[in-house]
Amino acid sequence: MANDVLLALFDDLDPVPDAMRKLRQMGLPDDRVTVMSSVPYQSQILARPRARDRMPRVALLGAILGLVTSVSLLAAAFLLYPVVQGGQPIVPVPPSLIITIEVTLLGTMWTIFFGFFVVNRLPAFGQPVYDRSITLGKIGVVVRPDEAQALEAEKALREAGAGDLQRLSGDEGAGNRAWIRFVLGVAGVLVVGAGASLLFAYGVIRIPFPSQMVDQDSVGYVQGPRLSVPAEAIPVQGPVLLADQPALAPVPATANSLQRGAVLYTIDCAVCHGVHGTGDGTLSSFFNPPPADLTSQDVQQLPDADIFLAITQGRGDMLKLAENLSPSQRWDVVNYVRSLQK
Amino acid sequence: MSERAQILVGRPPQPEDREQAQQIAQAQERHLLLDPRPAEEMEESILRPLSRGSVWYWTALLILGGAVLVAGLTWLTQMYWGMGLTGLNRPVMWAVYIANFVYFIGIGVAGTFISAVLRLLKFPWRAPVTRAAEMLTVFALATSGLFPLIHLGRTWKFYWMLPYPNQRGVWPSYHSALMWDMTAILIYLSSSVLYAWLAMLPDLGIARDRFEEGWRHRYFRILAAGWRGTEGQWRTLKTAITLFSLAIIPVMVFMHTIVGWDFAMAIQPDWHSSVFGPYFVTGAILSGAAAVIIVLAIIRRALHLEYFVRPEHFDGLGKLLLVFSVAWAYMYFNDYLVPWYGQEPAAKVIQQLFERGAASPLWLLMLFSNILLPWATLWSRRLRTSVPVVVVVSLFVQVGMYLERYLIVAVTLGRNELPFDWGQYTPHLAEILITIGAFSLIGFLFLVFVKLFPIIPMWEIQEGQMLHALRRIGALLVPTRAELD
Repeated sequence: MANDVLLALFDDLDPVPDAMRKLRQMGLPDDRVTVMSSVPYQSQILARPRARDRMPRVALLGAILGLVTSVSLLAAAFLLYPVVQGGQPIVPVPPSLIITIEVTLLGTMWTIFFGFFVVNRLPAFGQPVYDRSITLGKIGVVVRPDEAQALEAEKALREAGAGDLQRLSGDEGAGNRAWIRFVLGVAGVLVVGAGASLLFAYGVIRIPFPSQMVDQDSVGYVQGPRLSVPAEAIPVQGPVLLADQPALAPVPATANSLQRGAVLYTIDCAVCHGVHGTGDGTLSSFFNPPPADLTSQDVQQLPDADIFLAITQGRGDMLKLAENLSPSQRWDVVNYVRSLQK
Repeated sequence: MSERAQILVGRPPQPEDREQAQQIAQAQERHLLLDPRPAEEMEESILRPLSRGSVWYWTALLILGGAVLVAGLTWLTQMYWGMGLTGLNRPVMWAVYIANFVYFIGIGVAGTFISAVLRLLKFPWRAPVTRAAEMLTVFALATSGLFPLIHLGRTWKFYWMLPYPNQRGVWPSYHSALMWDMTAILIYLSSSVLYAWLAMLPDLGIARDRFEEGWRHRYFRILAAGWRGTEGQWRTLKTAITLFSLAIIPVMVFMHTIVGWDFAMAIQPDWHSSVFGPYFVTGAILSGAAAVIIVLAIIRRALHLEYFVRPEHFDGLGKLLLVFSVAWAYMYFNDYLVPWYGQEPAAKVIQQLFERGAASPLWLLMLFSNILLPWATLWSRRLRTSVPVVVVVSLFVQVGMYLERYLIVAVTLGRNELPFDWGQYTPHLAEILITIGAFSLIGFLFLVFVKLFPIIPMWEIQEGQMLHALRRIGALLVPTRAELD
């Protein structure tokens, strides 16, 4: 009996505020009454006290979450994986602002959505107190009186004009535990999905698909023939490369040259030859034979022009970097390679 | 009409004489919110299409689904045989796929914008329009999101764009406009889905109650997530929707601005323009508003929703279309005037190509569709309330906006700073099939959606009808709105 719930259905809005007043007069606390309707009625319309709306705080929390996420994301991107690009600083402010605003708003919106469910203890898939006719415009009043007040409350609701009054045994919150199953289900799907994608990522399952363009049976050309160079254009000659002869006047190994060389080395060489030149870059495991250890005796005893030539023309599996580096930049890299120590 | 069914109708004004009776009848014919019907009847007419299909429906589903299938197979073929199947060639390396991307994103931008802005500004006529607009956003955005992948060539390397610690030792570079773009699209797409769901929650509750049994009942029970319409749920829902709208409007502006920046950050002549951000946003809303009009007209006709979608809604959307046509013309003039005045050789070549060269028919058709036609028709209330006129104008705006994107992407790229590298692009079969498939995909998704969800927001109409009434001022009955929020 203690858990009995009264569900009164009103055909019209007008008697509802009256019923609320009557229930309050008999000393029933406001939080034991719930009103359900198919149209949003404000508290004042129903003569109910205004409850605090928690959504603005939820939104603020979301904004903060989003801000923190974006800042960490940018910090990770720029500081852990620095990319020297287009003369921009390592942490460029205007692009960071774009990402910060976007992700902050993302945090706000997602938190509003999920916060709405949390604040209302949804989803609830059990058998909460409800009646289908509420969607047709009836107004449902749920009262959870004490044992002593049950009869009195029933009478008050009838007097106010409740068309239909049901006494239900059960808890309004019954079935609220269903959301745990729901969350576990969603989490399960995500975990299984992530696990399945890992099977592909680590090559446990392989799809025979040409993933490198080299292996692809492409049709058609993509690069069309260039039109002939206009008559007034000045032809540019590349450097003359002769064994044991400098290709161009070498750039002296000044501090500036070494610094430039270090930056260029990070961009163009380190991915294979490793940050310290020891041939253990990120991609080194893909090569057989592996990339040369630049600190080794074999490399260091080569004349400058040979290193220059290797950069320019490539060597074995090494790509030619002539298009990436101008001759003077190549000399900067040569100077830097010379400075590498075990 | 049963006694129970009358509950939500409210109290219709009692006419005092024949003239007033006439005024009431007129107002009710014109305004949905003054013409309440019983909840049962209204819900029945919205939910009927869910369980009943017609031959037309299945035919349309088959045709559109077939086109989508063809496009999907074409994409697979292109993945296997490489981008040589397309007409892409130096210097035009961005063409129809990217034009489609911008076009569909533009349509997608406008849906949630229209829904959110109309909600925030409390436009009374918005109620039946919002859901269709929101879903247009979701579907168009999903479609446009496919195009960078289609354009990628090696689509399976897409995940390299995602920022997570990985064995490759590389992170995506946030210096790049393309990276901002991907972030913005993912954010806008996911948020648009959540936004549409949030606003649909009470309707899902209604659908759950109206289908008493069967899989539809179980399905709506899960989607409605236990919605009961308690006082607290309503209060939090309304605040949540308002706050969500406030957040999603800047996201939308940002997203299409970034699409503009994708171009403006390049040093291609005629792209490198600081007005591109707002210019793209304006064009997006113009094409999006026109798309919402077309979708509404089709839904109204096909699902027999003439009661809900009335000429007043086309009137309102037509005004929006006109305003954004004017704004677009202003932006376009900005983008046109500065290069025209500057007479830089590279920009001059492109302007000449548009005005007198091979591209001039497209250029003139674009100006006609985006400026001349809307300005010539939409100023008139009589034409705006005529559904066929508004739909035809909207179709022209679609053509105009598509041409605008095509001109910016595929034609402009053919004229860069180096004359020996100039070229011309023609779309190949693969690109045409995939484009047709993309348009079909949006129609297909809409067809699936109307079978699974209520396309007209019931609770917003019921709320609007509760708030609106005729008030007598002197001899005239005037529609008035109760300010409750």
